[in-house]
Amino acid sequence: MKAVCWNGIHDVSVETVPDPTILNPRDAIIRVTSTAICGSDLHLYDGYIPSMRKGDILGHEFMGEVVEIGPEVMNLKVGDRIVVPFPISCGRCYFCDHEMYSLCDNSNPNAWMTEKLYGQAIAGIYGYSHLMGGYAGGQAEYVRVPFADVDHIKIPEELSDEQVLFLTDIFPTGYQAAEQCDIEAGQTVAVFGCGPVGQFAIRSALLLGAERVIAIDRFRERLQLAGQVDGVETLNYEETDAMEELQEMTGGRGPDATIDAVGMEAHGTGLPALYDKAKQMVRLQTDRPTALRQAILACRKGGTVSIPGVYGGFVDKLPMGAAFNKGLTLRMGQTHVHRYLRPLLELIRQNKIDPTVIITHRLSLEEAPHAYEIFKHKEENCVKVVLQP
Amino acid sequence: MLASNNSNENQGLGEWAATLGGGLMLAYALRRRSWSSALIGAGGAALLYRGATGQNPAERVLQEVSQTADGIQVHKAVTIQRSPEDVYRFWRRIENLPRFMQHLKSVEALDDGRSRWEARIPGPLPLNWEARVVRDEPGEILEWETVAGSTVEHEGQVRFVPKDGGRATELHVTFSYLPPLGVAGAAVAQLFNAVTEQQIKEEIRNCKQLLEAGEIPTIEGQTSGRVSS
Repeated sequence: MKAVCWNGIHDVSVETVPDPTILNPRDAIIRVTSTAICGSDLHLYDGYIPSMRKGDILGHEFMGEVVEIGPEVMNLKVGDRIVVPFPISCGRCYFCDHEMYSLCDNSNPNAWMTEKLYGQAIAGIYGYSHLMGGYAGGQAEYVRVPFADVDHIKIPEELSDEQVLFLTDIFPTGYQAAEQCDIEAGQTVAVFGCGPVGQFAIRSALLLGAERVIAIDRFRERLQLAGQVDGVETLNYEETDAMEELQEMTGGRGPDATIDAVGMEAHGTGLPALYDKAKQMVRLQTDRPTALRQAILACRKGGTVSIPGVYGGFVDKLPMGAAFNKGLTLRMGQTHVHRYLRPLLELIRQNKIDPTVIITHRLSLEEAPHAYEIFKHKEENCVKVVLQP
Repeated sequence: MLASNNSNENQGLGEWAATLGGGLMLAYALRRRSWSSALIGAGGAALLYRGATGQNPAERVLQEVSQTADGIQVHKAVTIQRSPEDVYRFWRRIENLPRFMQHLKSVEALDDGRSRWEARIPGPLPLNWEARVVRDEPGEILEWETVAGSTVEHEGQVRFVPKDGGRATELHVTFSYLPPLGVAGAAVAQLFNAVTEQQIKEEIRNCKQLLEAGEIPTIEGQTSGRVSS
């Protein structure tokens, strides 16, 4: 089959590799019909995440048709059309049992490494380094899905791939970010970062009852996309002092909740060398290290800072004094995607949200190397790339 | 973990170097992915931990190394989302052990609580021993040891402690291999060369995975750009 392989920094290529096979009784193999490039894939691309190996297959946002199932998968059959969540979850451990699927105890073959770094075992993620399990990803014609009986949602025929593909990650991630804000009617939420996750966080905050969302970014096309939604005001932090504006716009009280949809995932395992490099790159390109600090500083007293942006290692100069003295609640973590699959599919069916609006590029799998380049450099107003194998 | 005065004074450059060195060792281990490099990885992770926290785990590492010279001594606790009765039943059927303990080739139950074990070691020589259950309190504790005159001294103790109102089990495992008194045979030497405490700890994690998820997660044999089609 064809698959997008990571070869090194800024080097991905489409290679012919063996087809995946069933390795465990709860596995399934799916033929990928649509897959997307995530902002977090760019950090693999930029080489910030250690423990990638040359030849690793990328991609954690994908969907497709079941072509083979393991002997223990009873609720799927060949031909079923499914969307697969990006965290791999066994469905039976304490955490899965408590609907904290992205904290699964049992899905990472390299769990002991994460135990040393984070204190406990961290779940596996498709195509996201050997630290996160080393699983082959879904930017390919076929992919192996472990725990397939738990890790899927079946998609009705009337919905297109593009309508449901983002249930894998970014829609639930934006939704969880908004849900974590415990929004009450009439409240104002500020969203830092208007990439794909920010776009879904903005729309979700309004669905959850926010009266007003203030969206902050520096890319005009992303701000425009956010500003199309009723109830959204935008701030371009390159053109204005966003921090001052936020206080002005909220009568000096500050937004009731702030969302950091930027993250610092470039930290990887927290190596200072990589971290410094990341910080540098990030400052040059997207101003990332400031997003969390700003989210904390902008938030009103007693408010909530919600962090869907990914962090991997250590953070410098976190304004803990501000967070403490303002009595803030900080909520964060990888998304418990499985928890949101049904309710969000329902929102899509009822046309309460149209996930397709963020798609700017539809390309073939062979065009993946080009897609990574334009997405990384935000060329051609690239917001979201969908690849069709 | 206790932080010594020394480690506190060494923050700064030492911390940074530990983090970098530890990271490199960890990255190396992740690339190699063999059990020997797993040790390097563990060392690397310990250094990363030191770099990250300013605490020095070296004392503990040294302790583990000296234990290794005397044999293998493992203590590990895991919480399993199954009742103590379920987990006990699984362990009491001692033939189940090779399902999650890769270093065991087979365990065969004999009568009277006795069992015959064979280790999975490299080389042509087989390593067998016979063990017997010495304590059996259903749902609470299970203990066995090798019979007198075995080629290797092995002891196991498993305690099953109810958690979350009995829905889950805290499993406390003690597992040891000691060289016999006198001259150890070549096969025994192979066991101590091939099996590490870290590996046995992983195998106990595999027990949890098998009991909860019904399988042990793996990427062994999966496709990649490193395999030619």
